[in-house]
Amino acid sequence: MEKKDIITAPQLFSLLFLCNIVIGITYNLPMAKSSNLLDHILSAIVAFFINILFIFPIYKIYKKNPSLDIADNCIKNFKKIGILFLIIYGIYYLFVCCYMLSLFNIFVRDVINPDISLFMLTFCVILASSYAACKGIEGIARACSIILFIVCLAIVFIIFTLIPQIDFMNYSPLLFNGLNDFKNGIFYLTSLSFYLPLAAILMPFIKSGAKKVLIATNLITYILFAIVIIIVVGALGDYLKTQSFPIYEATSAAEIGVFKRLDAIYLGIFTSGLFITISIFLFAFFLVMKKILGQKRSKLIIFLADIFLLIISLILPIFKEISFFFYDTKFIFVFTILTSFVLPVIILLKHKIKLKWREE
Amino acid sequence: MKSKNIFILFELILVCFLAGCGKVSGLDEQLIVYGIGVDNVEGMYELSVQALDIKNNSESSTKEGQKTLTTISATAPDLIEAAKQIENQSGKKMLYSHAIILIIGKETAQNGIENIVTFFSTNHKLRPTVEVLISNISAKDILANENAENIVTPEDLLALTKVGKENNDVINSNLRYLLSDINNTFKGEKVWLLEYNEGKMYCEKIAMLKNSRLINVLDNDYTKGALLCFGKSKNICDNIEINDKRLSYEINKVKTNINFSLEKDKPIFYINTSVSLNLYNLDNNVSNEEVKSLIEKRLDNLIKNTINFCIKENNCDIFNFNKHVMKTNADFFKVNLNQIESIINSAEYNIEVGTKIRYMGPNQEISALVY
Repeated sequence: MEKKDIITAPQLFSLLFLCNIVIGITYNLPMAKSSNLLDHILSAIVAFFINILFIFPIYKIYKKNPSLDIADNCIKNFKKIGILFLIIYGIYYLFVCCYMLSLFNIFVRDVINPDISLFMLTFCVILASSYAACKGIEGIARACSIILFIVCLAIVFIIFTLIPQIDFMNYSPLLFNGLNDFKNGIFYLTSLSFYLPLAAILMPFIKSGAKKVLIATNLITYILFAIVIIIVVGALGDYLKTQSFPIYEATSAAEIGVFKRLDAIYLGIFTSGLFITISIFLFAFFLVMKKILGQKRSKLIIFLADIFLLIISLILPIFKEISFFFYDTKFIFVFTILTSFVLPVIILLKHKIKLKWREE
Repeated sequence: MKSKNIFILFELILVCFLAGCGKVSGLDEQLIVYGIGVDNVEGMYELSVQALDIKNNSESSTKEGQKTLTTISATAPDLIEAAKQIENQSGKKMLYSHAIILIIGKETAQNGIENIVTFFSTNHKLRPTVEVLISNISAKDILANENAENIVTPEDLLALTKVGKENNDVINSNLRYLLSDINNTFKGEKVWLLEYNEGKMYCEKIAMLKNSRLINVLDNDYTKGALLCFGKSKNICDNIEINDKRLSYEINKVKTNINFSLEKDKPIFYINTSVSLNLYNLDNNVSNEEVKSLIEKRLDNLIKNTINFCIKENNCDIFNFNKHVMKTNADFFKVNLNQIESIINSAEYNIEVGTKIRYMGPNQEISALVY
């Protein structure tokens, strides 16, 4: 009998929360098609409630049978059409890996070090992530707890060193330039809710407390996001408009006493976070492929996915023509809504119809 | 088992051969830049860098805490080319991450500094905390130290701007703040003016820029007024005359609140400044109240004259008054977006200064009674 991997609810929270932090670091204004970061605080409040709405169908499906993940539910409810749903989920998980790794490459090339060998960096991250994904969720969750602790220390340090640099004159009135920044912020933030489709497949690995995990991840992510924006805007002001990755830029200004010029350390910490994020999404992809192709063939697919991931994440930073599709907020928004809300709702409806038929 | 061995072997090969530091250049192959200077010479950029001279940095000299620095210059139509020339001259790759100051010559600043600031801000290794200064002589002369009595290092220059500092940066003139100001279309920029005079260097005056061009320099009194308006005290010493006697005082803490209001369509700024100061040479016979009101009047005048000079004469809002209008009355700001400059220019400025005096010198013992 195959041993089932089990993780605790706090470990699942760590995984989802760390993913959100890594996404937050590469939060950028050009993709949000926005110029005023402060309006995104209001966007975060709206995005929080949208996410609560998205949590509902995912949690409902899980609650019906806590041992089944979203992939099992697709097969159970739709049989052959369910495979199509699984393919969509598989593509989504792989897309998130490509998106995050390629964006991270752009971030490293443009902001950190243009001389760095992106091939080696990507290759090593994929190799380690792929290995971790094959090893299972328990190992990833344990590594995640340690990395999340270090990431939290770094965030606390950055926040406390930036607070004395806050200048209240840097705050403009909210919605000063109209509703565009606010609306674009909602779109962008909601489209980055990658953790919801991830949670849909990872929830059966915990014994209980899924609801609390989902609510806590959503709440803490947006509270942290709002705090970081308030501090970063207050400390950096209009300088943010000149920077592609404003949240990361805060690290270069965060210094106190002898603790200065620590961005190399932050990069190491963030890369560790990226490794966990890629691992967990590859793992999710692996789970879906296992359902479609079986255990043996899914390993081959993982290998092919790694090669695909390597090629795509190296090509995207170079060719703008292709990257438009990948970094188009509308596309990501639709894809995220499809996997986190539309498909789960369809599954729920099908489930209800099935129950009604049985009753009749 | 076989696949596991292959995997381990593959990782070993990776560690040994692929993940090496092939492209990384060692410290001795890099030109560690501490100070950067930019001048405009006949339409060309003259880039000067004060860098660590590794050859002459013997063990004995580093023990004394003294670094041997060397200055290298190159002239080219653009900064990137000038930087390449310096690399060709030194045979080393420039490492900007240790740079702490960027000096721009006065004449260059008059032609605009936006290109220079943007060039350095886009360099991934240069930190946004680099202090920007404008020098009254060429930046190259400042960095080369040819005329100065003692060798002046970038650390010394940085210390000149920070003395008497409050909250790290007195007038917020590093690369980050400067870029922030340049991006605010209504706000003027301000940086310290580095003056070289008879072999000595001073940093006591503020250079005022508009649309990233140097338009004027605040003299000592205007600089004092500006610092009071910013709510900062950078070693402000001043004096007043009372009964044919000079009284000196040193300001050690300033707090300024600026409020904006529209009264009968007339824009009015209320500037409330509270100052803590140490007073010297006070004669016991002089009435304390009289001294207090005289000092307050003097400080009031300093602020008033500075606002007149910057806003009325030079049309340059280095005090961010426009943001006060925006924050207090956003609708008014939006409607009058194109006339903000003239609104600030024609506004009334009500200044109120309150002082808290600490009597120094012979009267120190009774200071607790008259404080």
